Amino acid sequence: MSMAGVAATGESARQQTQHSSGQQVGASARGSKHGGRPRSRPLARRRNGLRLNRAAAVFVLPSMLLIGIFTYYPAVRSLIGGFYSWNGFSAPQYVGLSQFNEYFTSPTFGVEAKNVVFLVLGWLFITLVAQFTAAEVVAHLPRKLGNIAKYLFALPIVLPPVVLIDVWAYMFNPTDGLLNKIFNAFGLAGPNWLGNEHLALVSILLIGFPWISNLGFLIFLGGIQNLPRELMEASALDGASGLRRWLHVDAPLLIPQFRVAFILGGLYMAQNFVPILLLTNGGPGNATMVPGLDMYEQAFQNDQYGYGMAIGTLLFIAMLAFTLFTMRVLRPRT
Amino acid sequence: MTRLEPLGVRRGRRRRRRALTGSTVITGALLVAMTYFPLVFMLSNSLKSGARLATGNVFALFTQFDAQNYVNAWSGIHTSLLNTLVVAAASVAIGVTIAALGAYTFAQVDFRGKSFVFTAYIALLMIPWSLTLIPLFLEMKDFGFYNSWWALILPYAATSQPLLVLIFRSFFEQVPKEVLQSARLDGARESQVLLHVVAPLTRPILLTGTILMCISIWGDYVWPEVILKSSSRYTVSAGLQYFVSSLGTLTANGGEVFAAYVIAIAPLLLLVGVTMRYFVGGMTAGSLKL
Repeated sequence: MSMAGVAATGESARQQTQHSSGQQVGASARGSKHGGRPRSRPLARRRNGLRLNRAAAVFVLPSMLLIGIFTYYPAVRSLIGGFYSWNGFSAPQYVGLSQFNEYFTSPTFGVEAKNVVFLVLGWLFITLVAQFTAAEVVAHLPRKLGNIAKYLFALPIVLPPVVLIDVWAYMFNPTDGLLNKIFNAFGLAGPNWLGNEHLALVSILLIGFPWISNLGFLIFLGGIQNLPRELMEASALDGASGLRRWLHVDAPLLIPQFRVAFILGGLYMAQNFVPILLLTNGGPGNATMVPGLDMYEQAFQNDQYGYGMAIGTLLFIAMLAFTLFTMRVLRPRT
Repeated sequence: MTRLEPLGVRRGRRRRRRALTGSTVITGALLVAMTYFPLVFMLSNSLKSGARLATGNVFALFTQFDAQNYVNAWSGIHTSLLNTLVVAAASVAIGVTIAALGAYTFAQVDFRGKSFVFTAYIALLMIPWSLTLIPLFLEMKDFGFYNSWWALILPYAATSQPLLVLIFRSFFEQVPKEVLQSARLDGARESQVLLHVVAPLTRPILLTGTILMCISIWGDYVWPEVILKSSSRYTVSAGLQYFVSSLGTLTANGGEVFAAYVIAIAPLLLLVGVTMRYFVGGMTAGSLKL
């Protein structure tokens, strides 16, 4: 259930189709970007197929039914459910804002908020740097090597998070784990990675090092590969090189990719409590507690469904604010 | 392109470029090595028997080949692997078909309110799974789907819709309208146009959608663990964790655990390895941006 979250606007695709034929401007362009501006359609088109064509609009109904029942309805139910106290058995009781207040004043709220901010910012920094670097390396390799590297980086995307988490748990083991054996080989005493309250959260971020094999890598690679070649050659001829060219020519053109990768990465980490659930369960103490895990435990261990949905709603609002903020700040400059 | 430069400058530039390529190759090789070292350790450990795993030199790779680990691991997780195949097949069949129908409508059909409906799909991207986790659980209980695979299949098909519809749409739009129009003039119905004209032309992206769904089904741990009561119905991530927590990686059975990881990811690695060109091509075609 983790993949709802990528947007594809297909702008390049749309431009191509518009070039390819003169008579079909109406159908594809009206849907999204160009709004519903009325356009005079060629007569031929109006006569031979539009009515038939329009009947096919029912094709979208099964998909809409599915998202209505399994996404929109639960989402609305969650937003309402936070106002009701409910243990799953007795009748739900309207309690107004009290569950939201309860969360804000709970002893773990402060540490949860701090942890989730740390995880999201840390994750964004390390993954974006790693994925972008890897994408640039692949794009600058000689073609054959570049293709091999591209496939090698893409393949581990399929690894289930649980496998990655467990393998890293093995590496984190304080006595027999790989990391501390490396420390020992250098004559150093390795730390207790997950058992140290100052280190546990950092260890959670370390899982998946070097963080390349992720959707972000493919997003950046797609962006870099689709940069207009003439522009690159022109800027090279103008004598722009290295960092300056990257800053002034490449980077502004890649803002759409950065925007998606930033939002996807942020939303992913904001609700990703699985490594914490499996490795530390919020501990030691409450050192690695996060809102997602709190929500999960309240609902599925304490039967506090209403309270869990209140936490879920607050997390959702925070994530929405993050998304809108990112969309504003990382605006494509034209 | 003729450049009028003194010979020395040109030669210096070429030398610099060769040095740049060299360092790029080294960086790339390093990054690949770092990406794969956990996998190499997993593979190596899966062939070691327990005592060797805990006490032996951890850096000694592939010093032992104990296939018994795989036999034991298979008996521990084959049920959840087969469950996953069933669930994934059903989810993909429903999810990809329905998404293709929807995407075809958005790409090729003109109807009133289209932009509004499309906005409803974009807005879905803003609904995180954590928001719907609890109410979806309650809803599945209401439907009587608790502990049933329908509680996996239908939500998987549904949550894949926004992403699949968006990437399918951008590829369906590239099919020239003249081709579709001539099929229609030949008397083909819209469903036949989609099945016999659009789908064959866009097979790579349909495959990409299938792979994306499989990856997320293979990787999902929380939902099966929450909605299924019997561990015999678990899909692979939850089943693996169930198996692992009964053994532990650093016990005498550690090798079996690593063997179980290898078995669990093998089908997915095979599927994606074979179709890599389409998958990477579909994902890097430039449709993933905001």
